Amino acid sequence: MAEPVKAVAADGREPILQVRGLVKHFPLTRGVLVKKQVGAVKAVDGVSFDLYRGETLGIVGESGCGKSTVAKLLMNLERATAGEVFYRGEDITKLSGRALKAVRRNIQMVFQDPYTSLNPRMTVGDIIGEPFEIHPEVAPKGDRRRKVQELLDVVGLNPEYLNRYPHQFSGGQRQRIGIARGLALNPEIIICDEPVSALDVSVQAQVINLMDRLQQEYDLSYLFIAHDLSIVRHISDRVGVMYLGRMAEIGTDAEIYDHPTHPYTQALLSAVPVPDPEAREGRDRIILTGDVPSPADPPSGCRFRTRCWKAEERCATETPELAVPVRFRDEASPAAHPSACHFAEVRDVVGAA
Amino acid sequence: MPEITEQAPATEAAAAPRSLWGDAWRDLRRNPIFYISAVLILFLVLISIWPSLLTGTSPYACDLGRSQQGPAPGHPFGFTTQGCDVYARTVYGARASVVVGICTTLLAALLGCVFGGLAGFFGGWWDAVLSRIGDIFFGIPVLLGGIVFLSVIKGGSIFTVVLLMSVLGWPQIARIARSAVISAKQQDYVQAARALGASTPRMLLRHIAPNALAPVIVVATIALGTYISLEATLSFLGVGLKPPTVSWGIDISSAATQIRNAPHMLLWPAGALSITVLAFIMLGDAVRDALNGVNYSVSAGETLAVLGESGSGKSVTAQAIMGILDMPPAKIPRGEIRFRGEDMLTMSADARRRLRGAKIAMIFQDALSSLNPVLTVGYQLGEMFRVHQGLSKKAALAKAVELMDRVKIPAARSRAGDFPHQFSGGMRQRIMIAMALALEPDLIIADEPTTALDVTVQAQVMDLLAELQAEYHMGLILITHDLGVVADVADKIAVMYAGRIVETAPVHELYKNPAHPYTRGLLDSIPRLDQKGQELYAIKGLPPNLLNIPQGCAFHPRCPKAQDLCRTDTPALHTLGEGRRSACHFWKETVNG
Ligand SMILES: Nc1ncnc2c1ncn2[C@@H]1O[C@H](COP(=O)(O)OP(=O)(O)O)[C@@H](O)[C@H]1O
Ligand code: SF4
Ligand code: SF4
Ligand SMILES: [Mg+2]
Repeated sequence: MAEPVKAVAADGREPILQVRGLVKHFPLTRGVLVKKQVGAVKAVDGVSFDLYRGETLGIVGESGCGKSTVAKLLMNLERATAGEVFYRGEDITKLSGRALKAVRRNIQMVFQDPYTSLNPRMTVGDIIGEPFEIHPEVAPKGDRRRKVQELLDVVGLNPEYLNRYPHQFSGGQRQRIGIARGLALNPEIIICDEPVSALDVSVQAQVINLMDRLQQEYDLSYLFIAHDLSIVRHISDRVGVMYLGRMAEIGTDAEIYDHPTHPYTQALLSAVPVPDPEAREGRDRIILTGDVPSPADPPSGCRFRTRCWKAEERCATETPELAVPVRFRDEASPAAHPSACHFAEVRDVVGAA
Repeated sequence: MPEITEQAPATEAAAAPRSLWGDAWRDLRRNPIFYISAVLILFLVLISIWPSLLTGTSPYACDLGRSQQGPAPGHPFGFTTQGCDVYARTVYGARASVVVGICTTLLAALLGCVFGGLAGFFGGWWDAVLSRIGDIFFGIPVLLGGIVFLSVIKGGSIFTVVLLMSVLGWPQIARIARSAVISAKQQDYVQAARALGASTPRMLLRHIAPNALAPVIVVATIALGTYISLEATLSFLGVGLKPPTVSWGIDISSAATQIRNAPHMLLWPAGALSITVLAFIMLGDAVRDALNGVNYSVSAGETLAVLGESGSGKSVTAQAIMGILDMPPAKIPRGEIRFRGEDMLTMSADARRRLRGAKIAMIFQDALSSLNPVLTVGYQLGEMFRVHQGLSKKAALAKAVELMDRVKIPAARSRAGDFPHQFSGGMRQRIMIAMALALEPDLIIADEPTTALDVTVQAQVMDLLAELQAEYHMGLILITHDLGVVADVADKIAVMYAGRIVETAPVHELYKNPAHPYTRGLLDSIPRLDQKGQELYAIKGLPPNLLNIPQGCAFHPRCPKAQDLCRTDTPALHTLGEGRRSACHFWKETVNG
């Protein structure tokens, strides 16, 4: 079993959350009364990473690669099949009852869909005040209304809106309400699962700016999940790329975006439409063939090999480890970051370097 | 940059708190059907409590000597076979119907909510067992079950009839309750409550039950009418209520045999029964409309907002399509849109539809809901050829396979027999493209064709579209909100705001030098590599509600360049040069930065 490694980042920051070998298999069952397991969706299959205090770790990857499942596992909304999540040296995946409730004060979540994440039959005041009802020790009863109004103010909404209902707000405003609810208990970590994906383009920027400001004000650590690579780059200090339940590559934003060494990262980056028509001709576009395989029946060895143009024998038999590739290990170059590929090499697809 | 708050005037207007229940109530009160049914039902309830308000005659005061006689003074509806007063019996009969209807509904709803709710909430074993029990009851037709059980137990009291009907009727409500609970349970707000550490009872009572209740209320109201007619039917058949209870069903039954001699005996109880059932069904309808109406008006509002921002939005109204067609991005020469010299804007809706079917094809964002889930893909593609070209089944299928090949669906021949859900999102979008191609259109309108797809798949699909477009010489109108996709594939661009075109330009010029402040704002709010760490530029405020577009320039509340003129005068679409237009009073200043 992995131990909470006492790793410290280069700049002296310590990890606040350590994820080790996280696995989630959803059983596929048949039969109505007597359920027989006929397989499993390997939604998350051995994911490890650290989240440092005050940083934003972005997680990108296409839909179905397991990003939301990772978020739910960190939030204990799903039980991990295997693996550990250490928070303050304690494995929180095994917690329940009172101990779990205590941890929940410190790890909160902002959801993707501002339309479904707020109970339509509760007022905004009740929604943002609910954390205090569940954790009465945080704010005495008489204080709650004022607290809720403060929170509304912090996220840039009119504190007078207390008695309105969610459907009286726009998507961007609702997401602010969701953020206020997440902040109520004064957490250290906020897991954001596609927090701006459902918003209009012009409103996305407003919410991103708000999240940026709150991070500095409250020294928050963000795990920021999204499929929009430019937004992730804007907000993240480090970025992890997921493919089919595994982490393909992880590093600082410059390492990932300007010096990707994993073929999947390269394909993903090259596929992102760049809002600059001048770049159209000069770009190195990699059009992948085929679809993402089913997570119920993933390929052996390297998960990406069925679509990888560099795949060889070895990729089918030997699972590449997420580690700094041997060839870059002694270099101080930006290519020297963990990449789960046997044949990792730099290819500048964005034309940025 | 000043701190941006989203307190746009458009939302200030929605001042008072409005709960969903309140909204439903308001909708209900605006519905005349609700008033009619409510008045009828109130009246029925009143006379079932105090029948003596309407008649001084007892329904049991019978005089065999007046058997089957017609109307007489003091006896406006005539007499029954037993010589009882038909009017009095009709009035007194309401009680049985109303009591049976309401009690059965309450009991069935209680059973249904408890069992359905538990099954839905806990799932697993609970669900399997409870649903199985429900299925067994559900499998018994209530009428048949009623006849059999009631003949066996020789019932007859209101109590036994209510009990039996609710026992047979609850599964219907349980099913609705179960699925309402399951869908509420999956909502993120329930997950959010769990993430906060909420207890199970709290989640059930505070988050799930209030949201699952609406559909249950709707079925229960409609079921009420059904239960009333069911009681009458059982009584008619002689297994329901028994004399001396006064029931319309019993009276109808004894009158039915004498229909030739004394039709008046049948007319009144049957009429009263019909009106009662109708009243409850009308109430159910009104309640359903009100409760669903809320969802509708919410989603309509939401969709409208997206519509403004993404230019023409997800659910493209015909009007919006025509708006674009009138001012096409230059892929389409204007003449082709003014199809055969006709102005599409003034064309009749019918002609427009025909035109769109034949020469203009659309591809939508959501491929799955545009395909019929129960027909194979090959059949649906082939249908185009069977209907439009009269090909045989076999020839049509061959054509379908050919098309699937064209859009690069691997193993087209064998996959033609698959159903839509067996394809991935990207493959389904290819099928939609194939369908559009089948018509050999001059123009394809693709409404957010890749928004629902992942970037790598999106790249494949856009690639395919561009390739086919070149090969078939089709025009392509791409409706999207993605500035990246636009930069990748477009030649010219039309930017829409609040349902109007605000700028058109060749792609390079638009990105280099936007001539409308809205376009400039959009481009500036894209995260850029050289500005990492800085605050993103954000257009202040919100896209307007299309039902409440600001006066003057629709963009003025959000525009950094707005002047007094902008608040009063709507800017015309000025021509700035070849293919360049801007609907801004101050386009010159905007172009120059
Ligand atoms: N409750 C569940 N039961 C079964 N399969 C699930 C469940 N939740 C997610 N999955 C599957 O796990 C995989 C990963 O899903 P998810 O974590 O939602 O991906 P992402 O957020 O990256 O789009 C998908 O194939 C999805 O269908
Ligand atoms: S390990 Fe092999 S298949 Fe996997 S990404 Fe590297 S080269 Fe491709
Ligand atoms: S007309 Fe005025 S308000 Fe409208 S875009 Fe131009 S400057 Fe802004
Ligand atoms: Mg997700």
